Amino acid sequence: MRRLSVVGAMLLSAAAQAELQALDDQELSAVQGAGFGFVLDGILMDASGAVITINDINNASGQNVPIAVKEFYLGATGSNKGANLNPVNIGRLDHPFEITLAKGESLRTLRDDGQWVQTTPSNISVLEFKFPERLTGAGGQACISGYAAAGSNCSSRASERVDLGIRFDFQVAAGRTDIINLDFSELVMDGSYLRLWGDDPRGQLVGEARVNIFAKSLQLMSCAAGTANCTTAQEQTARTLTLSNAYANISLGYGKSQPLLFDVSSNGQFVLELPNPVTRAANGSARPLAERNAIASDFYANAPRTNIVIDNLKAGTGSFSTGGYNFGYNSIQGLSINYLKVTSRDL
Amino acid sequence: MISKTWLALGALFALPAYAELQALDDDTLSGMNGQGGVYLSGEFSINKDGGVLWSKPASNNPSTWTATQRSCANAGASTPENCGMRVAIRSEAEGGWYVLDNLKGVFSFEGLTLRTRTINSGFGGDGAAFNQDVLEFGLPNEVKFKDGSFAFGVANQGGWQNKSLSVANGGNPSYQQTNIFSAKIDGTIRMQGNVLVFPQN
Repeated sequence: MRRLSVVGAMLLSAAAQAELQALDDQELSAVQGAGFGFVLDGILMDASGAVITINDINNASGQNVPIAVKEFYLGATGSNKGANLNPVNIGRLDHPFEITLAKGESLRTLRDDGQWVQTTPSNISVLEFKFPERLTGAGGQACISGYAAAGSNCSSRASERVDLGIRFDFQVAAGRTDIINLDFSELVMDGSYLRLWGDDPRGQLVGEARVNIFAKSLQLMSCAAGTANCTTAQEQTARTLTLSNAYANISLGYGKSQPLLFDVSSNGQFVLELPNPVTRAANGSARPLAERNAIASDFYANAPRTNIVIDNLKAGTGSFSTGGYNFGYNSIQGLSINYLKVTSRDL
Repeated sequence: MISKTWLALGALFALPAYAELQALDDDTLSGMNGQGGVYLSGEFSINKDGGVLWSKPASNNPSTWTATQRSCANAGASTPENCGMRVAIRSEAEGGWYVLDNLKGVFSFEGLTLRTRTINSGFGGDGAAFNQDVLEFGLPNEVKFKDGSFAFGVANQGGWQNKSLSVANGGNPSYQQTNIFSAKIDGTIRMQGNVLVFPQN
């Protein structure tokens, strides 16, 4: 009997060994940060059948100026400003949207020169929401098709770009409505992220954000299609500002020395702040010169910059003969914000 | 003798049991997939008739409300409105609060699905290399909103207080809330497609 039970135990343990396999050190070290990815499969959104109104934005005399949101759509490229909507996949299975909780030292940010650098402080837990990653080297896709200057480090392919549109009707006064109609075509936002963590000396939530927007074209029209003087293609063009091959990399915050502070003051006002990276330590104490220099060198070398580039900006037809104008190439590049503080005030 | 009999009986019982249940080897087990899913249709409303914290006052003027009354109509509106749900989050130890206020309305949808799906093909060639199960949230084709609303703002206290009333009357003149914007939604929004969720290292 005893022999039998020993054999039984051996059989059981053999089975257990077959199912569970030990991880070696290399495999173990590759496991880090729990998170999940998601992709949007066959997505289409159309809010043209809904009435959406934004309130609580007041004019000088304290009256509400309602903003009606109309013609909101999101679909595959080639939608002809939302007229022909088709579903689109956004994000790839191997480069999805991600929500992760990771250590600061394991996150990387793509610098403009193509190097991946650490921008978040070490030994903190960072909650990160990120768009599909950007790729350096093989596999990268042109971020704007046919416009090499925007780079070829997007992971989303041409078929994974979207057309997005929205129209805002500002009911400024009785009988007067001002309109902004936005239509993006071939929009992609690869490499955008929002990272949040708690800052101990400041006792508050801080973070860093990157918003990348690449669009083949963005049209801003100042009238509602189909209304008076806004019906024919010619009339609509005359009231449109067209940005072609436009992209923006907006960088807010550099976690190591200039985190973005999300703050509400104790008297109930909204404060958005990018502190000066060198003058004071987070606890308010002054820093010695050598330390200030080291922080400044690191900040100027590694802090992500803001770029806004419009390959062609055109008002109306872009031709003098019809009252339009072609502003050509416009750009702001390599902008670094040394200090920023935005506060709301009650009017 | 007795123990031999018991052994024989034991062997008899044990044999049929082996015949009915067959162990699955690892290969077969790993080939098994959960099937089925959930299909949801429904309607839910949040604070459509006001919440438990405040009742609707007779007028939209805060100075006329009692300690348990609050209207969430826009400033200057002639008629009062019920208030929706309020969520406040503090982002700084000694700071103020971010507020999602007046969240209310009726939302209805048909065909929100939840299931698992194995992806091993498609997706422009990415599917074959991916080859794993995902959680699929199928969006309903249409979502209907009726009097849906919310406001986003900042405040110096988590809980709402009436700044037009004195402390003795249940208010707090030092309370400050600034609504950055608020939105109202009515009608149908078309949302189609799936959200595929999977673990990621």
